[in-house]
Amino acid sequence: MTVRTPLVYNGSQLQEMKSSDLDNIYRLAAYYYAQSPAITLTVVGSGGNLTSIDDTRLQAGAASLSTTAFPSEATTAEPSEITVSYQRITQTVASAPITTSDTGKTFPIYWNGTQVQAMTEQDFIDTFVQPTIDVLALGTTTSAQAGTYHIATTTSVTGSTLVSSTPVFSDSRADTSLYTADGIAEPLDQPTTVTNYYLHKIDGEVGSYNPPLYIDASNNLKQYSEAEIGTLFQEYINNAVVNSSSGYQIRYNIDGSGTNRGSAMVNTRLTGGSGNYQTFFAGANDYRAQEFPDGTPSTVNTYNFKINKS
Amino acid sequence: MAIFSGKIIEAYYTDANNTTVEVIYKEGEKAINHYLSTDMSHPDFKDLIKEYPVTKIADTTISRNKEAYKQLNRVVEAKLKQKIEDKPMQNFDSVMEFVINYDPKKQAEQLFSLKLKIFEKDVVKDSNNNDIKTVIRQAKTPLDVLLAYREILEKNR
Repeated sequence: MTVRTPLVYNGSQLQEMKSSDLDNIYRLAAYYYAQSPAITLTVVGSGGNLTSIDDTRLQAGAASLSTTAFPSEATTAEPSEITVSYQRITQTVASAPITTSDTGKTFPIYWNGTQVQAMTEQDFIDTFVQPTIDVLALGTTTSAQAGTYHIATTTSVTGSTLVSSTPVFSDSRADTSLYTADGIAEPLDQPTTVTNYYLHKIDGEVGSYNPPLYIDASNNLKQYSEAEIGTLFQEYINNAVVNSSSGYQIRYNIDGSGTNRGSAMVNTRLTGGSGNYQTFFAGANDYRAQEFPDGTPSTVNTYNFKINKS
Repeated sequence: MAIFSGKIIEAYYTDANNTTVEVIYKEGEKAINHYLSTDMSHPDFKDLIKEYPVTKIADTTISRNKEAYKQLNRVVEAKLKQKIEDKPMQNFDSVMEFVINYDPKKQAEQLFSLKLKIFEKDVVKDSNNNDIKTVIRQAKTPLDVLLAYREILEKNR
């Protein structure tokens, strides 16, 4: 691996890029990756290909009826747990071949100690592509991670675009206020949504940057146009995140390897209760009892959406 | 910079093992929640504790748990009170109130229970006086039930 220090034109002479110049270029590269990322996520109603995650909540026990007296607490069914599985994220990996052929002057220039020289394709990958992917896969959610995804509890996040208004996960709990003794036999499952979790894609931002230089057909030095260098970045980053065998593939998962992205998704449930036993005298010969969900809300599972570079 | 940086209202652990933190932050007029695993190496968590130290997260957790405990106590007390109100025949005054000032709207269930108790008495079971038994069945007040019962007792002497 050979990382070169690219040259830029500072208005009067050539100089080597500083780390701040490189950061701006990585941001530009991320922006172009975000225009057409090879690894995309979509939200589906069900049957996505990322791991299924479960929301659990309590539901009331079945009502007991008697014609002579209220059924005792011991004989009345306890509240039970109900599980709703969410598998709403589909990851698609596009094919991303390299179509650019290296003419020997295709890639940016650097100073080799004695003269100006064009980078090789591998130099370009080592200098621009892999560092950009390193930044893309961080846990932060700034424009330097453009084109990658994160989870949020709202449908609107500054600097990101909502992928779908369908939540990828909903945390629900039994709504204890809906169960009343007068309503026995109450419907067993009466949930309320506590938090919805949505998938967002981070927006790109070009920002200010000083473009790298290349050697043109007449052997003059020339600054790349934004589209020229952007196209190169897009092609090579996409190729690496799909095909890299040196640790630069990007994939997403839930609770697998990698770095957490955005809000964790928590499954909360009422716990510690023993069933809220209630009775209702509906009329002569009609004695009813039912146990409603009770307890205190607590987190029973935490699911993390992750970006993994491997 | 994390999504909540500079806008945190409060942050606290959401589970007993302190593996997850819920950050409540202000976004315009809304309070938004954001969950984080307690991963000291994650940039978002680093941003969180820079602004809202771990000790403060612990303090907030304790004070929220205390508040939840108080709320739970209030719910339990309310349920106990309701249970007492649902079982009014637990002292002399309430029994007298039932007999003397019977309220058919609120005490029909107790009247029915009284009839069942009377019919469980051997003297009533063994009685052949179906007319009086019918009076008990159709009685509209506890006093009517007791008077009919007295009649059976007297006829049995």
